[in-house]
Amino acid sequence: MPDTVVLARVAFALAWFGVQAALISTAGDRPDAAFGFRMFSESSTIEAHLTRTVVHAGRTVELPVEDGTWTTREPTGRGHNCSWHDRVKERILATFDRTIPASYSAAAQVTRWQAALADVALHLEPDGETRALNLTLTVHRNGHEAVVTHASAVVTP
Amino acid sequence: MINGPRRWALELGDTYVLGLVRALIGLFLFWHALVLGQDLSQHGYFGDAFHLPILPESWVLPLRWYATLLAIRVILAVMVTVGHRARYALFFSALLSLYVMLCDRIQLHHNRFALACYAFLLAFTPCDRSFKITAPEETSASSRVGPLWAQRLVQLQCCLVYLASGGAKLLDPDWRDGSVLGDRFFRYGYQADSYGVPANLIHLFQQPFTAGLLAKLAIATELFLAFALLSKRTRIFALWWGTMFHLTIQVTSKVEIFTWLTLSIYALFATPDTLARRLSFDPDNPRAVFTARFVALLDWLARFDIQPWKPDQLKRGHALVITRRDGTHATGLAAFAMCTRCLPLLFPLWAPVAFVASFTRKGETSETA
Repeated sequence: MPDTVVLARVAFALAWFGVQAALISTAGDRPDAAFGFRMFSESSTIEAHLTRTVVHAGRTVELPVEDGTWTTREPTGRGHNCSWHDRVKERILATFDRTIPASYSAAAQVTRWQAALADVALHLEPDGETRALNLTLTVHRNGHEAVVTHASAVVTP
Repeated sequence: MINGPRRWALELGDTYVLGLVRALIGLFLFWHALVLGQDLSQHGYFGDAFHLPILPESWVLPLRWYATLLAIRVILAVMVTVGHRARYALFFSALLSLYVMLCDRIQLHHNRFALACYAFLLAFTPCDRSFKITAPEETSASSRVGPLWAQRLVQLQCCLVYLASGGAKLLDPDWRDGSVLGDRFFRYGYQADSYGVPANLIHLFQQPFTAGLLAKLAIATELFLAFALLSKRTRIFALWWGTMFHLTIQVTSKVEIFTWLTLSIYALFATPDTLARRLSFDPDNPRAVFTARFVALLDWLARFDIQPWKPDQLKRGHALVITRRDGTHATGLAAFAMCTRCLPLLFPLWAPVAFVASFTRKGETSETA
């Protein structure tokens, strides 16, 4: 068999494992360590609490949101239902006020929740009263003390 | 050219087991496509809702095209399983699988990425020369001999997964001191309790010292497997230890198909030949006939050449005799140990049976074939 075949196979192997090595060695730079084969990297939990900032009678107040769903009143007086679940289908990114496992690391879930918050706020139909959505994430990483993270996303009027 | 790479690049061998692994990978690809189809029907298209693409958003297909892509993946998975243009089907299955993961990293799971990697590498192996349902006549022993260089890459990929996983744990202080495992035991102890695990045992596992010890064992196991699978001397024990490791994970955690995927890939570590051992049985002995049929049924890797024999001086009094690769014979407990070593379904029994068998010469015969 000609040496070119051998060389081609060696080059293929080097290229494949070069890419794999690069993905694995840089996995720590990605919150979810994507492509890094880091199985069971953590035993962390996360609890999400959602509120919305509304303007009512000229005052700005923060109202709790239960199970990601809330009702607003349109200027016409008609009720309007809004739901986090309309945009976020992934179950673990749509479970509120309950401690759930933070799959693929706490950092991965915090990043995803924050991205989901921005996405929901961006796609929320203006209801005349919601000014912002606020997310409080309580994270226990590997059984350590809780770390609380706050994030807000302004609702485009 | 250096001799080692040349030998690797030009190595030939029987590809029977490659065909079996290909068919199994096809089933996993089929399962994965079905899961995505189920997600689509139950929750709608991820592209129309919140998702986290790694690719530019404009590269994410609209719903109609995504549904078509899923249908193509199902067809490709079937082609891989039955062996019809299987290598092309593997190649495109891997690419489409990777594409979907790049369209939404929320769908990126280690086991699915590993499946895509294995499928991609298998596409470069002659895995279409056996277990070919569409053309079984094309799978004779001589036509099955093919290059093994890409099969060796699949083996290396498997070891790399262990190295990445074990290495990351080794570098993580929370893993090293047992915090990760301890917290899991603490939080999920009630589940073990509901399965009837004794409370004392659960309590023991939840102790920091025990959790720390088990964490170190898990790290050592993954790093051991990364290297021991590559050595002929340690491979059989590594395969057994890895099998037990994965079965334990399967029982205690949710890992989708990862256990079965890895155990399927383990088959590629078997010596690339077939019928290298002979199992002779007494055709007049109903128990021997039953045992021989049982072995034939479970001999998925074609390790045994199973033949009836005419009683002779050696075999008199034995229901069956196994002739090993080196020509030595084994009966009784030693033969059972050989069966547990070669039959995938009995493999979890191999180490304890071989350990017991090592204390006795019963069943070993000094004569060679």
